Amino acid sequence: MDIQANLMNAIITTIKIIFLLAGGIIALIHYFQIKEANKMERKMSITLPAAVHFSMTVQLVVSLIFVFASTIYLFIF
Amino acid sequence: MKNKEFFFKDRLTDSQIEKFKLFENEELIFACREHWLPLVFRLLQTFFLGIFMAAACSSIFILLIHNIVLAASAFFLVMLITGMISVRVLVHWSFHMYIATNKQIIEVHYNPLISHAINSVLLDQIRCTEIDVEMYGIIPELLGIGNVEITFDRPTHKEEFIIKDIRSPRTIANLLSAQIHQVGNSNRQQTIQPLWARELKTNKYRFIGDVNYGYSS
Repeated sequence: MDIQANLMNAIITTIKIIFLLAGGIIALIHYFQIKEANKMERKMSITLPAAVHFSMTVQLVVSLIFVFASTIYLFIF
Repeated sequence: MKNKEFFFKDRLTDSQIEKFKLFENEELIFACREHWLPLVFRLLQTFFLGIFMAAACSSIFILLIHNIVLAASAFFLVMLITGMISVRVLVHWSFHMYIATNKQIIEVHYNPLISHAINSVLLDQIRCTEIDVEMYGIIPELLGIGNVEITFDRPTHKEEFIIKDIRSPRTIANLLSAQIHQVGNSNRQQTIQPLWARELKTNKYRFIGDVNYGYSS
């Protein structure tokens, strides 16, 4: 019984770590995406619509919140 | 701009187009982006697929591990990935454009962190054999959205240049065929040099040039 419970705990912890890593990677991708898009805007003198900028920023903020929440969930609960 | 009536511009400003002009006396024929409707369809498709995947992932966590917090995390993670793909699609649409001048046809597309390509075809270096207009479906037919397929016959191979999902494809095809015909005629008058080209795959020789049929005196 203990083995089964330990195995389940190990699986849950692994999934938590995977989620945290995935969230981190997504946040990084968002950051570089915003940076690259801004660079291309200047380079090609094309202005992206304000809605696109807004959605990119919101995505970055949400992914950072996800990383923060997953970190707390991993270490505290 | 000399020929104002020859000019078709769709959601692009002059400063955006000027960047891609390479030659002197280069006049714009058209500059356009993909229509917004295919973009909306792609975004809706991504959104519904994302919702489905998120629901599937979270239900797996609920059924197998009986952990609601992990299920919610999985749902948000999949939705984050969906959002990332959606933003990427939006940015790609904004940077994807077609520009045609009397010297060249340019396709610019940029996908952040994935690809950046500028394809340019010099009109005086090619011979165009076909310009096709394709419009499939009720909504594209009603809104006038379609593809323009240009087939080029280069000395050694054939190649297609597809201008996808644009507004008024018939007008654009007419403008292009007029321009390509004009460039082709002026080139033909300058030099007509027949050429034998060897095809690498079949190892056969192909004659490229004008052949006069019938009797000539």
